[in-house]
Amino acid sequence: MKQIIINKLANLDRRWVFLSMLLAVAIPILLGLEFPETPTQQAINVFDEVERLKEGDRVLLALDYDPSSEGELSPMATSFVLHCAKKKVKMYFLTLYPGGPPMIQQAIQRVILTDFPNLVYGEDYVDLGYKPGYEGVVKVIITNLRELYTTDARGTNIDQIPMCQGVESIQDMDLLIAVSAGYPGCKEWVQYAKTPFPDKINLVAGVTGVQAPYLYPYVPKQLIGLLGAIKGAAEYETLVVGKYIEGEPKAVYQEGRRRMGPQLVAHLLMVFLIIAGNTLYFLQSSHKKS
Amino acid sequence: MRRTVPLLIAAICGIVLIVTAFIPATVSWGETAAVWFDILAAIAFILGGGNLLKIHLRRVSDQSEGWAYSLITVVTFLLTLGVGLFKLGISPGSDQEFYGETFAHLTVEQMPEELTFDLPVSLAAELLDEEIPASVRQQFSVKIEDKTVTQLRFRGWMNGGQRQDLLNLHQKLDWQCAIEQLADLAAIPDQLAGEVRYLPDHRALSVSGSLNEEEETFLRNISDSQSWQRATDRLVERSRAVTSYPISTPPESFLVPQSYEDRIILTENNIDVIGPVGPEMKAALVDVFPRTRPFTEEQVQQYVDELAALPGGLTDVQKNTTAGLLKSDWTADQLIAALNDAGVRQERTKSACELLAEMQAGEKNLQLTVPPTEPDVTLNAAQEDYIQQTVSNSDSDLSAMVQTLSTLGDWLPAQEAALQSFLQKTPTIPMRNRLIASALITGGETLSEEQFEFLLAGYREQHNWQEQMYGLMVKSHQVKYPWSGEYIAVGSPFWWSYEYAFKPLTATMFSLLAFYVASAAFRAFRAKNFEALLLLGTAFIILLGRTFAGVMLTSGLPESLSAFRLENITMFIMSIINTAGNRAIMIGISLGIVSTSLKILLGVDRSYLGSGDE
Amino acid sequence: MTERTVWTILILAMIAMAFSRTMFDPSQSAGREYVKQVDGEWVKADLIDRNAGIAEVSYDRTAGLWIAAVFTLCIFSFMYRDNPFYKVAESTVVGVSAAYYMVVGFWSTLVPNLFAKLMPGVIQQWAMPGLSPEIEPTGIYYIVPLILGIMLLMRLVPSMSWISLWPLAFIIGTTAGLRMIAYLEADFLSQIENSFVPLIVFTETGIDYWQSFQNTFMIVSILSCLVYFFFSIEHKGAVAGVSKFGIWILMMTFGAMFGMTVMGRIALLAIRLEFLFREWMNIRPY
Repeated sequence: MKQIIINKLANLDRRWVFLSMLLAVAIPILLGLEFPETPTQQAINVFDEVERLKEGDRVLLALDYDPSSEGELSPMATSFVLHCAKKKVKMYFLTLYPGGPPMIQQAIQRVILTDFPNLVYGEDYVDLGYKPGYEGVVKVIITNLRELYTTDARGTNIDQIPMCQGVESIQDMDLLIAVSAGYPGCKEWVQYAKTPFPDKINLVAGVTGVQAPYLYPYVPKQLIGLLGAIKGAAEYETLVVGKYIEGEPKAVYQEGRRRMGPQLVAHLLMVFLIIAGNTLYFLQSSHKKS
Repeated sequence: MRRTVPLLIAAICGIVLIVTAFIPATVSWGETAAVWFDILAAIAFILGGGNLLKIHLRRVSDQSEGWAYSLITVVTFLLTLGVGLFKLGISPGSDQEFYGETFAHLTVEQMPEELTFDLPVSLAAELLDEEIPASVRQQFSVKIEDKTVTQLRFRGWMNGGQRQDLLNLHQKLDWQCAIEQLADLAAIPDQLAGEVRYLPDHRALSVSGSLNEEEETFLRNISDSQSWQRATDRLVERSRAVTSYPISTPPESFLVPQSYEDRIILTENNIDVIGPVGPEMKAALVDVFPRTRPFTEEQVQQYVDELAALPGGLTDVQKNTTAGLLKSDWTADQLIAALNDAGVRQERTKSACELLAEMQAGEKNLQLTVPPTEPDVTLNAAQEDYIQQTVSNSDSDLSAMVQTLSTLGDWLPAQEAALQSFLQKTPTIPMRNRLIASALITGGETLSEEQFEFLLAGYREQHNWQEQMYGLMVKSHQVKYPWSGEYIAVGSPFWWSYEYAFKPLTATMFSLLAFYVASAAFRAFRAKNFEALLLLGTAFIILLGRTFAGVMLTSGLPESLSAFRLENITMFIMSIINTAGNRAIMIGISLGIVSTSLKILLGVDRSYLGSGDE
Repeated sequence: MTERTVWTILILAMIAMAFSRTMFDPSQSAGREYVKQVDGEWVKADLIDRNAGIAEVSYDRTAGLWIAAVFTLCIFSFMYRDNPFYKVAESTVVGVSAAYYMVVGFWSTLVPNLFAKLMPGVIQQWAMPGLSPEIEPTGIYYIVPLILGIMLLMRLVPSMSWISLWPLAFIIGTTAGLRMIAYLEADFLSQIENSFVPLIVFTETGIDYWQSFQNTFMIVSILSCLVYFFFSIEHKGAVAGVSKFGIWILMMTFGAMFGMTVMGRIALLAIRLEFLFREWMNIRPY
């Protein structure tokens, strides 16, 4: 009898597993489960690097992601834009992903147009848009921006944009923030921007959970700090909101923390599934041996 | 031959790019190769789309299994492509449309002789070895005799940007002085400055606003040439066209701005404007809402009490938020500081001709600027007191401050300009109220209908008036570049297909991976040996340590054992073990990439050429 | 009751719930998109704009919201079984994304970086008024990528597809050249340089044992993993021992990568469910 149950469970239709994952993520979202976040050293390094900036410094925000990784990366992008707007630096947006331009539009709409309406396009922030070519784009703009970007995303001549006058290449940026989903992304910025010009480029990055382990070898010499997955987003968000927003922040600045609730429950489910799967397997194989 | 040429191309391109990494002088070759690569990557997207269309059209025409789905693919592909390529529903780019200006077609060749300006000079001919800037190429020309430039010629009027581009061409003072003199010669006459200009890139003679009779006469008198007169006729006709726009009742405080009184006729439900409305005119028409003033403590309390007295009341948090926002508005001290900054005398930059004259007179140490001769002007006590009193008094008219301030002490025109620009940047009362309303409803708090009406009635009026004035500006506008809008402008059909088809579909496709990872965890991950156990054990630590569960599980550990807290173990694993493993993998991969690249460049690996049967 | 009946009832129930939520949501946000006009452009309106009375329901965006929700559910239905709803959604995403990339490639690069270099006058008059209509001296060289591009498109014609080998060779050669140097510098030399950390870390007060242990452990781990990857010698004796330790480190690395991957995947599911609950049906915790 016991063996029948064990066999039945071991061969459980995988759709029950799918359902359990769905519930593990859906229920915390419906209940609004949230947990406190303690920033770790990597998030603190990234935060400190952006904090070091002075008013009027130039920051390149490369939002190299599209809707397929929006879940993890849009809270990072939102927090970076908020931090930069509070520091009153000049923001240059661009993207290496074809699906990236609306992500830039979204970041600008959600943060700058809503909470910083006094920032002027062309003087405080500019959207340079997308160019195809993967690492070829980085290779060109690291020495000559105008070779590839003759206009911004809206078609205005780049020489007529006040904040682009005097910017010859990416080496004129004081900080490079790469929010990246995969290829092309942070690795290309390290390989084609930071490594050839180590003294001119400062690079921090926010990447997906899949990418993060591959990029740890670059820390700290080539990459000053790395935010990995939604946890990194939540930690950085906590730091920025803690310093710059009084009272309860808006929902858009709590996205990272909010998504950590379903993360915890789903992780516990994963641990349970691995243990359960292995237990059932060992029970089955020990029965077969006997 | 078919295979040799591609091999050679691959080898040459690769070697060029490798060489550029070592020889700085060849960096531009690498840039060029990379730019061409980027263009080909864009064309590869076209290839992908074309290939997709080919395959699915064939399936539909062959009526093979699943052809209905292929039909859906083809239809959605063509619809999205159509709205995207033809920029359907996309309005022209607002910063390229020259709102408020009327264009009349006039190329540089059609420019009358009277507007051709010649300056005799004597300059070395090497100066013209440099490329002439694109902004002046059509209008600027030179006469060279015997390796000397004897004449500079400019057709049409020179604008500030063109002057600067020519000055930037060479640092030599004789060149700079010559350009300054040419610019003075080719400057727009004072009677037309600010109203009329020539835009060579747009092949247009342009008028801002409406051309009045004086300007028309002056313009006609410049030349009798047929093209000039035709252009002037066109400008007169278009810039005096009347636009009639229906409006709802204007705001109470609305007055037609003085500077535009001759162009606007306002009736109860209609506004008639002569000529096109530009951004400055629109801003002036919209700037009729009262602006905020610094509040005293009593005024802040009064405002909070008034809001709290309405049905619904205010919680303590809301009261504090309101008071905080009201107090963080601009202050009189900030205004005084801005006026004092504007009172600092600026150094005068000498013109190139002045410097040239000094140099020719034998001066060795050329000073580029002349220090100010007069002392800086700071506000005296009487002026400061007056500002402090006036700004807090909500009945006073801030724009009338100028007159009194100029009588109370020293006062500069630069300070007047600074005062106007400071006041322009202060928020309007409706916008400040909107900000307060927005802050009061965060964190789950709410306001009653009456409170919303109190805070937002002004915002509604301001917003509606702003949109009506924008509508007036657009109606009076002559569209110049209908295709200049952004291809993914928010609200357009292409944006719609991205936001409501592409985005949810791709995001959901990728989210299915969460289910598969759960299924794999249950059915596939078996700890059959020690290595697998290590893998799964590490995975557990990471899964727990990267969430609050890890913190909770080991929070009981004393400080001396804090290294064994899950979150610290996680950090050790990521920054030491994972780094070590991935670093070794990275080193291995990089050697593999180098060897593969060399094999391709040296022609050893020819797999990308295909099977060779073609 | 057959499976089909059960599913039909479930789907009808879901539709009924969705509609009733839309009708009876007290804040009237469920199932609707509100917009307001700002400088002629229609942008998303928030609660404040709705309370101010300047927002209106946008019918095309509301339809889009429902279409997005239906597409999301169609794709989730694949988890139960492959079905026609899923196939329709899949066909749509294939068509829309291919067209999207084509349009993006055309307007973001072909027009400003290719056509505008070759015929700036025409492009300036048509779509990019901000550019100068004067052709640059280097502009004529852009004929090369144009020809290469046309050759690449010949791939679509089976009898002429051999011509596309030339631009393919250009792409492959360029990529190989770019990557060789980049990987050597960033992934080989720099990683070796980064691994040069002190085995014993001295501070003002003495030896930092923890940091020294970490550094030593890191170097030993990297070397062990590299020994494991060295397949040219037989893994016997001491080499076997060291490479065994290397395997253990690699297994732990893969475990960490698995853990992080899981983290990544779950966040993607969370955002879709957030969309369905919060943006579509306006079901919020507070």
